[in-house]
Amino acid sequence: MLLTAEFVETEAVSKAVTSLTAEGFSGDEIELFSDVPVQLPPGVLDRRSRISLMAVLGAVVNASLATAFIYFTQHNYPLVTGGMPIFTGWSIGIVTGEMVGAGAVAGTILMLLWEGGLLIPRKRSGPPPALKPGSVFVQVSCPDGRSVRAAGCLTKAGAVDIQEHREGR
Amino acid sequence: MAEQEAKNHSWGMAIDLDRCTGCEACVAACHAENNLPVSTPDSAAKGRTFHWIRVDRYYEGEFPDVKVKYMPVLCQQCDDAPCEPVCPVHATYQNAEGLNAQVYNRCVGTRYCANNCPYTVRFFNWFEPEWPEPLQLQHNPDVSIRPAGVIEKCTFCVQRIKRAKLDAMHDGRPLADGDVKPACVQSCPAEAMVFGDLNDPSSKVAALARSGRATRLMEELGTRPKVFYLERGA
Amino acid sequence: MATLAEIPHSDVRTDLWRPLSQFSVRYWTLVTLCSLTVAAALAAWGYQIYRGLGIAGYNRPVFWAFYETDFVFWIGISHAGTLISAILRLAGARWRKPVTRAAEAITVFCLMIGALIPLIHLGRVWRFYWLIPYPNERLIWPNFRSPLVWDMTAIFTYLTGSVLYLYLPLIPDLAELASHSRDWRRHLYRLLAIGWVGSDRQWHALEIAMKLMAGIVLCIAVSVHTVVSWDFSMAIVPMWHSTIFGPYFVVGAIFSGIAALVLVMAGLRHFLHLEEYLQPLHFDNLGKLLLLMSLLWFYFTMAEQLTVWYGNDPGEYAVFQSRIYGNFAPLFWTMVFCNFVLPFALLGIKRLRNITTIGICGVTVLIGMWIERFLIIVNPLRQPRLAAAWGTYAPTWVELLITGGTFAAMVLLYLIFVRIFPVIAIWEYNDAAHG
Repeated sequence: MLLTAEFVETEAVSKAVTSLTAEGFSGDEIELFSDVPVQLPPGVLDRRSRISLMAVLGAVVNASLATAFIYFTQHNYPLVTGGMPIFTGWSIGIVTGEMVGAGAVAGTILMLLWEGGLLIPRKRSGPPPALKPGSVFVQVSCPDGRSVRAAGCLTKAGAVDIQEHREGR
Repeated sequence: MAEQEAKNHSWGMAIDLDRCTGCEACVAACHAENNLPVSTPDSAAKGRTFHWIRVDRYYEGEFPDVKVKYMPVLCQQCDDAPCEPVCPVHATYQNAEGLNAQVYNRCVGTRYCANNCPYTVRFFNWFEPEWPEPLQLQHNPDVSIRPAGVIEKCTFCVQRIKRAKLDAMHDGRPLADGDVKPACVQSCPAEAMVFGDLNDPSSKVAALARSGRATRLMEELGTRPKVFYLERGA
Repeated sequence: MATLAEIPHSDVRTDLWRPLSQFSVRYWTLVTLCSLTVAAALAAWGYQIYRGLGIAGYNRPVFWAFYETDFVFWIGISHAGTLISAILRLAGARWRKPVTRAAEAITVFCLMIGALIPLIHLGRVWRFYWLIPYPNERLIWPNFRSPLVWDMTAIFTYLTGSVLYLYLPLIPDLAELASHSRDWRRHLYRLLAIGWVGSDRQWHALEIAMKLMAGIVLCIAVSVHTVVSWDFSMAIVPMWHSTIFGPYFVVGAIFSGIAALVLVMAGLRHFLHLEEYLQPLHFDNLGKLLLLMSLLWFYFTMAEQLTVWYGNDPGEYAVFQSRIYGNFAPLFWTMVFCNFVLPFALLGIKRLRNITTIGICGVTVLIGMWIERFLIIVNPLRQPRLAAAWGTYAPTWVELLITGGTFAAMVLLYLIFVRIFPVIAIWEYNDAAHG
C-alpha cells in the first residue's frame, strides 16, 4: 500500500516525517517529492551519501591509471629521442593533475546517477506523484495493516490531501 | 642530454667568419641540393622565404667607415634543442649521430617548434611547393619534396652523410674526415666552412672547435649548438 | 531579497517558459545572419585546408597569430561560468542564482568553439588524431612533454566537467518541462531528464554533487587556463618565457568572462523581457566584480612590463619597446584604455555605474582582452632574438572571416540554447526566493 500525502508547509512535512519515524517507519519506506529541495531540520530524514568518497576515489584511480598508461606506453613504443627523457615527473604531472579533475568529475557523476536512480531507474513500489509548485508530497510505503496509523500521522501533521495506491497496479 | 658514445659520430660544423665574404654561394647550393621551393620578391615581401642557410648582415659604424659582418646561420643541430620537447607528435628528435632530425611525414603543422627555435631556422610549407619551368627537372632525387603543412629545416645534408657512409662501407674502409661535405661547405669559394665529426679528436672541425677563436651562437640559452663560429679575438 | 519573493511561482514559470515558445522576426533574422556568417567561416576554413595555410597572414617568424589569439580568447571567456557558478557558489553569494545557467552556458559554448580552433590552425588538420594516444602499428605516440598535449587533456577535462556542470542543475527543470511540453521538445526533455522525479534522495544527491562539482570545476578551470598559458611561457621566446603567465592568464580569463557575461545578461534582459529577474542589483554586483578584475589585470600587466623594463634584457626589451613606443604602441595603449582606464572610470564612480555603462565596459573589455592576447602572441614572435629574423604581420580575409565566424557561432549557439532551455534555473530561483 502506498500513501501519498500533499503538504504545503515545510514544518508540517517535518512534523509528519518525525511522527512516522516515531511510529516505526524506516527512512527507506518514506520518500518526499517536491519541485524544489526541502530543507528539513537535521536528524529528521537523513540520507547517507557516498558521492564525496566516490569523487576522491575516482580522482585517485583515474590519475593513477592515466599516469601508469603514459609511463608504460611511452616506454613500450621505441621512441627515439636522442636523450630527451621520455617520462619526466613535472611534465607528466600536469596531465596527472588534469586526470585528477576528470576522475573526480566521473566519480561524482556516476555516484549521483547511481544514488539518484537516474538513467537506470530504480524499481519503485508505485508511480511518483506529479510535482506541483509549492507542494511537497510525502510517500509512505506501508503494509496494509499499518496504513491507518500512517494516514493518521499524516493527517495530524496537516496533510492537504492523501491518496492511496495499491502496489502492483 | 646524453652525450654521444665515442663510436658514434657527432656531426658539427665550423664557420670562419673572417673568411666569409657574404657571397651566398652556400645559400644557392643549399637550394639546389635540397629541393627548396623558390623564394621570390613576392614571397620575401610576405616573409615567406625558404633559406635553410641564410647570411645575416651586421653593419657597424657610420658612412664612410661602415664595416659589414656576415654570418651564415643554419640549423645549429643543438644537443639540447628547444624545438624537440614542444612538438606534440615527436616529429623532431635528436638521432644517434647528434643530428636534429625532422620527420616530414609525422609533422602535423602546429609550428610550435618554429616558434621555439631561438635561431629562427625552421621553415613552414605554407602551400604545396611549385617550381617554375624547368626548375622542377633539377630536383635532387635523394631528397624528398615536402608537402604543404609541414616544417622543414637544414639537415646537414643527411643524404650526403648517408651516401658517404654507404660508400665507405662498400669500400670496406672507415669514414675519413672530409668524406662528407654538405652542399654549403662544398660550394664555399673562401673555404670558410668545415664539416666533420666532433667526436673524432683528429678531425679538422674538432680542432677548430677547440681553438681560441671558436664561439657558438647564443649558447647562453643552453641549447648546446654544434655550429662553431670562428672569429678574430673572440 | 525583497523583490524576488514577490513574484509568485506560477508567474516565474510563465515568464521563464515564455521564451521557449514565442519567437519573433528579429530572432529569426539574427539566427539567419549568424548562420550565414558561420557557414562562410566554415567555407573559408575548407578553402584553407584545400589551398594551404598560406592564404592566412602567417609568415616567418610570426608562426602563430589570429587563430591562436582566438583560441586563448575563447578559452578565456569560458571562465565566466566558473566564476559565477563555482566561486560565487562557494562564497555563498545568493544573488548569483538567476545568473548561473546563463554563465555556465557561456562556458560550454566558448569551450566548444575554443576547442575547435586548434584544428583550424594545424598545417595538416587531417592528421590531428596523431595527438591522441591510440594503439597503432606504426610505433608512433604523442609527446606528453609538449604543452600542446597538456592543452588537449586540460580542455577535454574542462569541457566534460562544464557540460556536466551545466547539465546537473538543468535536470529538475527538464523534468518539469517534460511534463508540460506539447511539441517535439517533449521527447528531448524526457530523454534528458533521465528519470528525475524530485524525490528527496535525488535532491540530496544532486545538491552534494553540485557542491562537489563547483569545487572540482573551479580547480580544473584554474588549471586549464594555466596550462593554456604555458603554451607560451614554456617557450624561450623573449617576453613569452615569463612565470607570471599562469596567474596572468587566469585573471585575464575571469576578467573577459565577466565582461561576456555582462553582455549576455544585458541581451537576455532586453530581448527576453527578464527585467524582473535580472535586476540592477545583479548588474551592479557584476560591475563591481568587473572593476575588481580590471584592477587585478592592471596589476599583473604593470608587474610584467615593469620588470621587463627594469631588467633590460636585450631580447625582451626590444619587444617591450615596440609595445610601449613602437609599432604596437597604438594597440597596447588602446588595450590599457579599454581594459583599465574606462572600466575604472565608469565602474569606479558610483554615479556612473548603471546597466548601460556596465554594458559598455563589457564591450570594451572584450575588445581590450582580444587585443591583449594578440599582443602577447604576435609582438614577441615578430621580434625574435636574432634581429635579422624580425618580420611583420598582417591578417588576411581568411583569418578575419574565421574570427568573425567564431563570434557568430557563439551568438548562434546561445540563441538556440535560450529557446530550448529556460535560461534561469527555475528551481534554484524559487529556492532562493523562498528559503
